[in-house]
Amino acid sequence: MVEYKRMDNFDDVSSKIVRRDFDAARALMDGPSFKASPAERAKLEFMYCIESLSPDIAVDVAFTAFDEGHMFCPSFSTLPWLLDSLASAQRFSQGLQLIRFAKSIGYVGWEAQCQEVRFLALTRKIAKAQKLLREIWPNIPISERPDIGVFEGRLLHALNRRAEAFDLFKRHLKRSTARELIHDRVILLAMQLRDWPSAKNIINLSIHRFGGNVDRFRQLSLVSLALGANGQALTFARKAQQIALKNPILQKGKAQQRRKVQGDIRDCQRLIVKAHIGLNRVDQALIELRGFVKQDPKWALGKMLQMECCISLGFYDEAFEVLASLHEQGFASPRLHKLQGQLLIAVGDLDGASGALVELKERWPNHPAGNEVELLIEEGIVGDNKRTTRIFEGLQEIVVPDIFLPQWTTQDTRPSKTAWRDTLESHFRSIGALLLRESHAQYGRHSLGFLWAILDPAAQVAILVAIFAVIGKHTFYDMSLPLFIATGLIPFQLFSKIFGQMLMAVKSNQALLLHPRVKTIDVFTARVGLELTVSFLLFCGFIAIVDLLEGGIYFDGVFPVLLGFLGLVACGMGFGIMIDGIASVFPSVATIAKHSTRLLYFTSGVFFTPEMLPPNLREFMMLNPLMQYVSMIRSSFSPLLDDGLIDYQYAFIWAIGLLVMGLAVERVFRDKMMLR
Amino acid sequence: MIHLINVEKYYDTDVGRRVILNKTNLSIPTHRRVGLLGRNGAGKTTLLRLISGVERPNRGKIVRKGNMSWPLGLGGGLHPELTGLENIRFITKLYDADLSTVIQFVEEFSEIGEYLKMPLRLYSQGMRSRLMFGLSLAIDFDCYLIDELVGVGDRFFREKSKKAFTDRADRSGLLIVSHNEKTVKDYCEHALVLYEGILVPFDDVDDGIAFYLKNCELR
Repeated sequence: MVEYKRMDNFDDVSSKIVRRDFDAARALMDGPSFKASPAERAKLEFMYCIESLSPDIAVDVAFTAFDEGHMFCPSFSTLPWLLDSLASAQRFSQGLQLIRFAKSIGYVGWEAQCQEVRFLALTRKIAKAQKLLREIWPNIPISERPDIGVFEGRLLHALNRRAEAFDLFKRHLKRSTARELIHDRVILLAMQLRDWPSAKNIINLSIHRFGGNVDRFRQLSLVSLALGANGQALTFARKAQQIALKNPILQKGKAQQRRKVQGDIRDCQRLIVKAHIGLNRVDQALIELRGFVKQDPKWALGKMLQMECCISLGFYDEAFEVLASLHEQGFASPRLHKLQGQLLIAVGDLDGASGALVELKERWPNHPAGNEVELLIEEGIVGDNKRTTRIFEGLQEIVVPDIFLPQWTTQDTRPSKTAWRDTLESHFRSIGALLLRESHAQYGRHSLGFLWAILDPAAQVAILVAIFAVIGKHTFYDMSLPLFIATGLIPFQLFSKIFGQMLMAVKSNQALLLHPRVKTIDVFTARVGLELTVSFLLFCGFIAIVDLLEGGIYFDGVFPVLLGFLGLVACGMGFGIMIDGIASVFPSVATIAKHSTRLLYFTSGVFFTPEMLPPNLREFMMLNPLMQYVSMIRSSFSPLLDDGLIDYQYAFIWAIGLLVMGLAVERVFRDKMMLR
Repeated sequence: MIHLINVEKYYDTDVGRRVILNKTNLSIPTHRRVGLLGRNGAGKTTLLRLISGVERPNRGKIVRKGNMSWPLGLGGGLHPELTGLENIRFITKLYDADLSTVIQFVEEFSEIGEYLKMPLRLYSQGMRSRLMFGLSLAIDFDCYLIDELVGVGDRFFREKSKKAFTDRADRSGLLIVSHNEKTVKDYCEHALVLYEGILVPFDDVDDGIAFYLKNCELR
């Protein structure tokens, strides 16, 4: 009976705890009728603490229970929670005790071992912790390795094995969930170890994770400088400076805080100047420095940098002013003395420089600056060549002779009102000269040149006519066979010839493009003009001959013919220039394009008209703009051909689109095309 | 005058950025004889192409006042497939000069004779440069841009071309690009040295040569 009653008590309390009725549970437990064995009582107390979220007391309960040797063990799932609360209460040795106890009763997974390592580390037994961690490393699941790897890195860092620690950080930090503070420490470590590329990666990572602040951008700038990426260094230093300048402490903080922010700003400014100098823009650096020093007149380092820039640019008066203000401030350093020496050498006052040297050697006997000045003085005496005093690496003080001084006025830099007329005239002249050359090259090489221009297409037409005649086709839609073939073939050949000519235009005129007056666009235009003229004359001649032989052919409207020719020319020119431009970067494009345009010979309506096709195939074939143009031209020569099938708008969107694309590509790749 | 206004030039190659010219502000007089010295590969020819207007700078602007020749260099400006006469015709048309006077001058100056009717690819190096000099001298330029060319040809022709250029020194200027300080000393009054992306100007040609020898060659 008693047994039953006690159980009843236990269930009562535990159910109340689970229902979070803590007052009632407490009243029952403290009440006189409550009876339970000490182990069970501890269990209930522990449960109470866990549910009421008071881990501190729970730990106490657990420890009392251990001490008294009751058969009690907290459930493993509560252990991390308990340990965390111990760690946060800084009761590290108790934590260690707890985890060891838990291990002794079977809590032996990798988590338990990691907890042990953690408490070992917290109780400052770091070497032991690291050793243990190494042992259990193979048991740790891969998903947890980054975090624990970072932890090991911290241990190694604490043991002052920095290179090994940094190796681990490099490997694991990216995938870990480490805190901001740890990232900052790793960045510092990377910079101490001078591993600039890794430092850059880690800074970028922490900016990505925690946002950018003054320190990170400043470090990034510093690292970029070390890597030689001066432009980037400049950008980051500016960012850091801007963030620092926005700091509210600057306006209303305490003096000490304000000084820290001021120091940050100065540091950023120094980096900006360094980056400018790294970019060989000492004049820019000087302009910036003047502004900085005006804002912050007590910045001695800035003033010294200003002096350096002034000396290297030859602004000696300004350098002396800055020197005077530094003396006024009561500032003295070996570097300032060195600069003073350099300045005096630069203006040719070698005695003064020697004086500065003596003073420098007296005050800082072992400073390397003394030797440098000594060297400079020797050089100054021996070389007596003040023009090339080296201050910054790679840059001399340049005295620009009068004759080379910049002499332009703002008017010179603006295009004049008649510039467009000059440009146009120059284009026309250059196109004219090129037309001369192109016609010579293509038709004037031998006396049969121009004859060949007529015979070649005539022969092609003749062959096709013969083939169709053999098949037995003699008329197409009221057109005779030669007329049908000629109205298809000559326009199509205009397109393919222009396309081919565009591909070769720059290459075969490379030598002539060395004339500044000859622009690439002139070469293209000249070739197109020549080809269009020849083809059009040929076309007219052909039609005239057919007209004569057959005694009158049907013809209505010259417009579709002209539009068709224009469209073919625009497509050929635009497409050709575009492919040529792209081929200057990817040379294989030209070959692919050349081969694929050959297919167009069979699909552009040279041998057929849209009317011959079944409607669904026709719609598909009419997507080809060349088909549209050829049909356009042909529709003028037969009353049976319907120009309702032709979509003028569609056709000319292609023409204009290709032309614009071609010209745009030419603009972008102009230099590349010429240098190929 | 050639005004270089904030001009920067570089190439982005596979191995990183190669700077030819850092930000530069200079005016180069075109009525004087100026020599541009620089080591092989320093970017002299590129600079001349920039100045003549064949290439564009990456930043900034180049303003040219006056009529300037094309960069006269080996194999530039004349088409190898065209005959000498055709080349002459092309250039006279391009620069709007009178054909018959140009042909007459070139025939006298270059002494090429019957070869004028042959394609240029059959010419020797010396004949080609003779033709080019003759052509450029036949057209009145305010300034001649010359790329390493004056050393070509035999002694007699060199004498002749030097005389031709000095004869017209009052009318037109020269800008000679060379890695050879002797050429520059022979022809020029002023010097520019292209040194690590910086165009260093010198009033006196000897100063420039001294700087060139000190900083560029002994490295």
